[in-house]
Amino acid sequence: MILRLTATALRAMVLCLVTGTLAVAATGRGDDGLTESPDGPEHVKVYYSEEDALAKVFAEADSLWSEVWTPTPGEREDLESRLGWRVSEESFVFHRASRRGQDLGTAVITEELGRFKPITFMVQVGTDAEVRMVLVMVYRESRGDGVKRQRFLKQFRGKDADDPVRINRDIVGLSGATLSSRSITAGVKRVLEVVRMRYPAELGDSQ
Amino acid sequence: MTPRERHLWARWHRRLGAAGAVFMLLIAITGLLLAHPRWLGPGEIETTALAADPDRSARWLRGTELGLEVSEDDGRTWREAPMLAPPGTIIRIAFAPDEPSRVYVLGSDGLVSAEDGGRIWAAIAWPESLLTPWPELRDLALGTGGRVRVLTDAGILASADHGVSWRWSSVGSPGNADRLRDAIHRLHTGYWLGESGLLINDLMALVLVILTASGLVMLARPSRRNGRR
Repeated sequence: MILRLTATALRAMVLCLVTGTLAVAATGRGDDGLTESPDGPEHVKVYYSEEDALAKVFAEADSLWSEVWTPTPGEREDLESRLGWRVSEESFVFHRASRRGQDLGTAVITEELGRFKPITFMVQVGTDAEVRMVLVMVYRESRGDGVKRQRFLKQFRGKDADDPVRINRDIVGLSGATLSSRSITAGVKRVLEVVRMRYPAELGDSQ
Repeated sequence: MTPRERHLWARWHRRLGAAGAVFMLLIAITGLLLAHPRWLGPGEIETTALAADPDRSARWLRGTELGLEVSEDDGRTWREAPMLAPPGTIIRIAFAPDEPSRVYVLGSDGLVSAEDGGRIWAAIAWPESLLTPWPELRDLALGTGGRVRVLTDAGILASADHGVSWRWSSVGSPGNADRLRDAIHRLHTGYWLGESGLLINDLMALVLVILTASGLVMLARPSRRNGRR
């Protein structure tokens, strides 16, 4: 009896091992596993595509369009001074939305370096120039992806460009994902400044 | 249980209950204070690094656990230096000896640099293949001609091009024994196949536990076949 049970258990374990190995091999090629990048392995996890993220943040919209903004050298310098940080992007894409002609604000997809790899996320800013929603779209590092949870991301709601938006100030970092928390926080602050600079009259300043 | 024993139990129950209530009160009060540190007043921010600007005699940079501060009046007043993503607790601030407008700041989570004396900063990226597992960053030194050295607990990271490319310096860098130890560690923990390799390790560990348990049971119970003989 015991021998039969042990044999059955062993057979099940071997089956699990084979399945596990196959799963590991399969995920290595997919969006949710280990892939190679020029500077090491990349654990690419795609949580939202651009379409999915836009559909989520602008769920009520009946019209969606994009605007590209290329800051002038003066605007770039001003932006960098405000942030105290070099801005490497040549231009920014603003996803705008409206419902029955009413402006629903803008959403920007941005990337911020984590420990080694960039984190791609979307920041939705309302017409009052305050953050409405933040969504982590792609996470590429092997650990720290807890920042994708709304438990952390909800903290950004209601923040505007005048808020510090800093870890240990008005944002509580996620333990075990300190650097990713800091990166997301920096990215949100950057988007708020970019949106304020691009739409000073339409968002916030006109309110 | 006799009435006396019951009374004794009840008395100890009350005492322990009172001690527990005091403990819970302490936890609740300290929890409130931790959640609202401003109630205790502004705390002093510890200085973790200090550097003088070689270009301007009255200008100083001060590192704290929150970021970077700058003084333009020889340290009398300080203001926060705008920096979008400070690299954690600041460990060292260093100006390049042959290019004083170039300044580097080493923090517990990375390295940032500025080419304009500390007005506009940029993060310096390190390749993952070089810094896995992530070492503890300890110190920073700058030489002439764009040479940067970062002391870590795994050795010295060296760059000769202002931090664009990096390699482990031959002095104090991980040797073959360290690399072997790291490989063994990865094999032992299952990380040789990334996080997914942990699944295989867990399953194998489960197999061993089942085998050991069933083997022990079989050892404890006399075999029927042997018994018949």
